[in-house]
Amino acid sequence: MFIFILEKVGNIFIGFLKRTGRMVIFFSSAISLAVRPPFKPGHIIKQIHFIGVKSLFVIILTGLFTGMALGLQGYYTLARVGSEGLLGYAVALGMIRELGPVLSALMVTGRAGSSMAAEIGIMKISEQLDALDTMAINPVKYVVVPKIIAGIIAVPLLTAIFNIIGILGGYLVGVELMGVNPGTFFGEMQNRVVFKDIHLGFVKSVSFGAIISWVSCFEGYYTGFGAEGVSKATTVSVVLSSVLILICNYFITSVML
Amino acid sequence: MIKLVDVYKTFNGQEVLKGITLEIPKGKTTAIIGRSGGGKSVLLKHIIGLLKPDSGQILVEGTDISRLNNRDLNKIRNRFGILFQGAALFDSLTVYDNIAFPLREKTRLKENEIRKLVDEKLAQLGLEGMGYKYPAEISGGMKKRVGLARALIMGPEIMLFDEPTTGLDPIMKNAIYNLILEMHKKFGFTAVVVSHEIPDIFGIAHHVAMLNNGVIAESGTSADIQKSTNPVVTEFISGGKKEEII
Repeated sequence: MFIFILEKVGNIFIGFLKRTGRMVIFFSSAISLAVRPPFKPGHIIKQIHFIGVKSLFVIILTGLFTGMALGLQGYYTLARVGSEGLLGYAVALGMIRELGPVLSALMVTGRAGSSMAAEIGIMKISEQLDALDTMAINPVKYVVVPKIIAGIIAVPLLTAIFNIIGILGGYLVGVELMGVNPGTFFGEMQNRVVFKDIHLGFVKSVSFGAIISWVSCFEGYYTGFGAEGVSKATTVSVVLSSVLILICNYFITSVML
Repeated sequence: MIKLVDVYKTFNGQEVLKGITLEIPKGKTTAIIGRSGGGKSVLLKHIIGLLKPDSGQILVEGTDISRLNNRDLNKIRNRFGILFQGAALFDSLTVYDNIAFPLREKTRLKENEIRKLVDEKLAQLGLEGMGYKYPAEISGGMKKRVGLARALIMGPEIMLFDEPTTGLDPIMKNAIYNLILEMHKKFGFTAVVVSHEIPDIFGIAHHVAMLNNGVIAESGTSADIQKSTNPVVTEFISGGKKEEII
C-alpha cells in the first residue's frame, strides 16, 4: 500500500517536472527566436491590438469600480483614525503596487489569454501548425513569438490605464461623494508615491504579461485531441495563468519591497 | 528519390509502423493504399519530416531527413508541397491570402507579381472570384482545391497528397484526380498519394504500395497490384464480404 502511494506521488512529481521542463524549453525557444531575423513588426502590432486595444473597455470598467471601492473602503478606514487626507495616497499606492498589475493581468487572462490558447489549439488540431512546418516556417516564430512580445508590451500599458482610471474612481468617491479636499487628495499622492512604487508595479505587469502569453501559447500549442482538447487547454491556460500571477505577485513584492 | 528503410513508429505503446521499407521513384506518382487508421497519414508525415521514426531511415535523395537539424530539414522541405487531409487552410486568412502565403513568406516577390501568380492558380483550379472568401465560407471540395493551389504555388519537386478526394462527390473527385494528372504532366513532380479510393487510385498512380497492419503487404505497378493474388490486397480491392441489403 505504502509503495503504491509512493509510486503515485512519484509519478505525479515526475509528470510535474516534465511539464515544467517543457514549458521552460518552450519559452526559451520562443525568446531565442524572437531575437533572430526575420522580424515581423506587423504581426506584433496586430497582437498588441488584439490583447491591448480590445481589452480596453473591460480594463476601464474594472479599473473604475476597483478604484471606487478602494476609495470607499479607504475613506471609512482612514476616517476612524482621522486621516482622510491620506486617501489619495492610499488609493494610488494600492492601485499602483498591487491591484493595478494583478487585476488588469487577471482581466487580460480571461479575455485574451483564453482566446490565444483556443486560437493556437485550433490551429494545432486542424494541422495549420503542421502546414507552417511543411512550408519551412517555424510555427513558434510565426504564431507564438508575436503573442509573447505583444503580451509583454500590452499588459504594462493596460495596467497604466487601469491605475489612472482607478485613481479617478477613488477621487470620484473620496472627493465628490465623501467630501475629501481635492488638493489634499492629489497633494498627498504626489508627495508620498515614489518611483520605487511605480517601478514595482511596472516589473509586476511586465512579468504578468509574459506569464499570460507564455502559458496561453504553451497550452494551445500542446493541446490534446479535438474540441475537448482545445476546451481543456483554454481552461487550463486561464487557471494556470491566474494562479501563477498571484504566486509571482507575492514573490515579486517580497523581493522588491 | 525517396526511400524508407525499416521505419518503425510507436504512439503510446501502439506500434503503427512496423518496419516499412519502400522506394518512391522520381517523377512518378506512387499511391499508398490501405484501410482507414492503418498509418498511411503517419507514413506521409514521416516523409516530410513532421514525425521522426523511432528507428529506420527516411532518405530523400540519399539524405536521411530524420537525422537533420531544423535548418537543414527546412532546406529539404522547401522542395516539398503537401495537401493535407483537411486542407489545413489558415482560417484567419482569405482564400487569396492563403494561396499567396508561401510567396509572401518565402520569396521577395512584389505584390503585383504575387497577384499574377495567385490569380493564375485560382483560374487553373476553377476558383475565380473566390479569393475574398474565408475558408469557413467555402465547401470541402473548394478547400481541397485551395489547399492544392497553396501547395503548388511554389512549384514543388515532390508533392504529397493526403487523401485528396475523401468526402468529395464523384464529379469533384474526378476533377481533383484530373487536376493531379494535369499538374503532374505540367510540372513533372514526384507525387505520393495516400488514399483508399479503389479503383480510382489505379487511374492516376504509376506505382501502388499496400499498407496493412503497419507493414507494406505488397508494392508494384498499378497493373501488378490489380492482378495481385495476395489475399490482403484482393480483399481490400474487392471491398471484402458484402451482405445483401435488399
